[in-house]
Amino acid sequence: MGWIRVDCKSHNSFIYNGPPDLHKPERPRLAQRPRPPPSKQPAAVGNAQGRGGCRVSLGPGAGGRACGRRVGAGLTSPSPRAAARHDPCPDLPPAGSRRARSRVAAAADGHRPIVHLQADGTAELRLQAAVAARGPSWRLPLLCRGHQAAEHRHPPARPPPLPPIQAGRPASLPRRRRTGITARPAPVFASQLCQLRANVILARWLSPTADQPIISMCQAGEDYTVSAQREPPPVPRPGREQKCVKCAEGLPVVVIRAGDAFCRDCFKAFYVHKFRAMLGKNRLIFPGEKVLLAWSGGPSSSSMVWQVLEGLSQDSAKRLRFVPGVIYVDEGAACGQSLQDRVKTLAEVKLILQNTGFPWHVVALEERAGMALTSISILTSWKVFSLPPSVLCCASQEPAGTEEAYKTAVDSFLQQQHVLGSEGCASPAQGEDQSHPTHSQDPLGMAGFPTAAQTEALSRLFNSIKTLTAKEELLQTLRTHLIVHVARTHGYCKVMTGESCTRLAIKLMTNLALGRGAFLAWDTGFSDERHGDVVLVRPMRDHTLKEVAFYNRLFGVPSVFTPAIDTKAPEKASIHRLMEAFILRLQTLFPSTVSTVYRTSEKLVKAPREGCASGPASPSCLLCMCALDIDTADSATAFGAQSSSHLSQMLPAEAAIPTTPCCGAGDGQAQSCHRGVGRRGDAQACVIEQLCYGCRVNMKDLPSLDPLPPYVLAEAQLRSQRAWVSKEIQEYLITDDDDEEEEEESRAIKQEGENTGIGL
Amino acid sequence: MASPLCVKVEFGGGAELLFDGVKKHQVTLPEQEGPWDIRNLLVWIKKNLLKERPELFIQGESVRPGILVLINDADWELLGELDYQLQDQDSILFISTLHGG
Repeated sequence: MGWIRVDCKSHNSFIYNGPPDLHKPERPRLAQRPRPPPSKQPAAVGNAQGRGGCRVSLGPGAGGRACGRRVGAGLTSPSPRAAARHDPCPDLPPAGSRRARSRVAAAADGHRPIVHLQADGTAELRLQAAVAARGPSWRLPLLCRGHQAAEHRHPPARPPPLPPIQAGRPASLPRRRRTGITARPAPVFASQLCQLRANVILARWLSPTADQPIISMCQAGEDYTVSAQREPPPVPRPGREQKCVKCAEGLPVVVIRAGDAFCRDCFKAFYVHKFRAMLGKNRLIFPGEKVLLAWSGGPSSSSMVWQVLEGLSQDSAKRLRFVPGVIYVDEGAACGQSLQDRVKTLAEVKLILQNTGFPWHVVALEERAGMALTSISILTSWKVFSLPPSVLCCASQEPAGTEEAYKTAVDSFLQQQHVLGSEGCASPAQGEDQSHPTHSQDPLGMAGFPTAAQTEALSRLFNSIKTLTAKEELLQTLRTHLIVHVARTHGYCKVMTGESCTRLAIKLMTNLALGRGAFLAWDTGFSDERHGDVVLVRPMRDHTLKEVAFYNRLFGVPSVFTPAIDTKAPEKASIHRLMEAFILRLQTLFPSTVSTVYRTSEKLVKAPREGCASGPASPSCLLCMCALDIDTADSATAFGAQSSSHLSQMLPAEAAIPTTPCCGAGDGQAQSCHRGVGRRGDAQACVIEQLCYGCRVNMKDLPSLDPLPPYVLAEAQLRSQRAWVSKEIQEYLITDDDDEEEEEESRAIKQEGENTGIGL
Repeated sequence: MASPLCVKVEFGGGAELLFDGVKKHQVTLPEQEGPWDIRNLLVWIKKNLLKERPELFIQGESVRPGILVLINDADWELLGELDYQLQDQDSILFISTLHGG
């Protein structure tokens, strides 16, 4: 059946309803419709005829019809046709000569109509056979006349034009089409919606045999944007014949972002510039400072170490000015690797570390006393698996230097260099000297390795965790503690980690899901000062994983592949994996996903910590060092009720087990406190209540907190004990009014404390 | 008819774990009717080289998001992605960015 129907763009009423003009068009059937009262008519619509109805032009023979008035988008059911007199469309052949007689299908191909939508809101209708022969064509308006007048008076606002092409980019490049998250949602106007509908309706010319519309919709001249698209529009692909966008001469090798092709040299310059700009912009690393580079062997941290290496060897004007060291943490025990594999990996690791020329430290996560493999032969007596509780203390620190402080530091450093002259040039050589390992024992021998007991303890801890999510989080926490401790011990005040843009975007979303939304700024920002004297810095946060991988491949950056705890894990094994799959999949469809999330993370502002300037710091989480965000006194909330019920479940199970005195591992307090901490349940409770919300949720996946490293448990005991004691003596504390009285009172309290056995 | 092609297929960044730890493979692709392109190559790899967990390497018709493909040390996006027609002695490198950091 060949019918063509054209509706008014703003209203759902038809404009033309009938087959093309070759055959006698049938008079459209129209029903009487009472005209709505004029008060409902918006002023902007206008009314050319002044009768309260829009005039619609119709095809030949039908005369004019009135459409129902509708305000706004006209995607409602078509109004019943009204029988009123309309003026015939001036473009169509005069009405009188041809009257619609019957619906006759124009089945023959030559009579298939072709419709072209024009920019002025009309459609041009032509029969296919007539196209070649330059036969007649008709133009059908897509707006009834009332609306034509209205649109003329108030043209719909178009979205603002795209910014002009930036200088330096050849004009032949296609404009970068912004899709996905960053696409500004195109404002949808009534006329545009109805334009779409008009197109759809026009396309409903069905041949008698086929089901599919056979009209070719040529949208020449239409430049509206429709936001309701099912599939994302394809990103314009740059081809090899294109030149590099920066230098416009080299052959491009890599595509960055969405559509920028760079040649090899420009890519290297771009990459290095990003790294230096990130460091320079933030001005946190003062010249001459000792910085520890946390190297995991993976691509991003390898790239970071390589950049530092190159940056230090440049000529003095642009040289990086800090003193680096490298640390590698061996996590094989947590991942279930065998001893032979770990030895093999360590050999590769050491080879690469020796080539860097920096002082390096290789530390196993569970290592025993004194056997840390470092390039400096200091037998450090700290025990990783039983680190001192001071690891978890946030040492007080001065506020970060201001701009002037940074500038003066740089100036004085440069002056020093100038004055010292040749000595300054020898500083890289000093690094060389330090790197000569002076091991007192064979580094690869078993003596240098953690004992089986410690490895076993760590494996036990990780095997007892029920979910992969909690395992990953705990691993990260323990690794951070260890790195911070090594930094403190060896005098490093900054630690650089190699987290890339993609990883940070995934981390941001994952942390939201884990309940760490309050600490996003610390977890994903450039600098992380929650450990106090040691500041974590993320210089690679502007580089995507793709750029890192390309750079490593093109410029031969050495890296070591070590299987991690989530290698070969299926997609839904943990929240981290799920979020990674989600973000990466979204990134393939919308290439600006990662950069948008990254830009959002840049805007996150750190809330100032209460009480850090004067007096004791506000309580911080035992594991992640962030401010405690749980109001422990509030048991009325669902979370409070949940955690207390969880604890009460754990208490009866542990009642029969004898325990060591809780204060034994504390700071030399021989007396045990009065609290009934003989039961392990209390020990667990006192750990849990010192965790932030995210850490608490993670700890739920541990059936028992005993396998945790002793330093964690000891610190928990210490803190809870201190809190209890301070609560006890609160009433005895005197304010600053009377010093003498205060002294006397404090002496009295000490006496009392000793008498009753409360350690202070 | 495409004549048999000799190409070098390499895996890096952890993808080699799925291929028994072997990073470099010199493969000879057999004759087939249409020309060899990356799409066919992926199907061939899945059938012949991939030892375990195909879903960690291939997703649908293409590689899993997060795996980069370099053809002769150039980004495959510049060469047409899946539709690039393989030439003799080409070098295809699959780097997994999903692992490590």
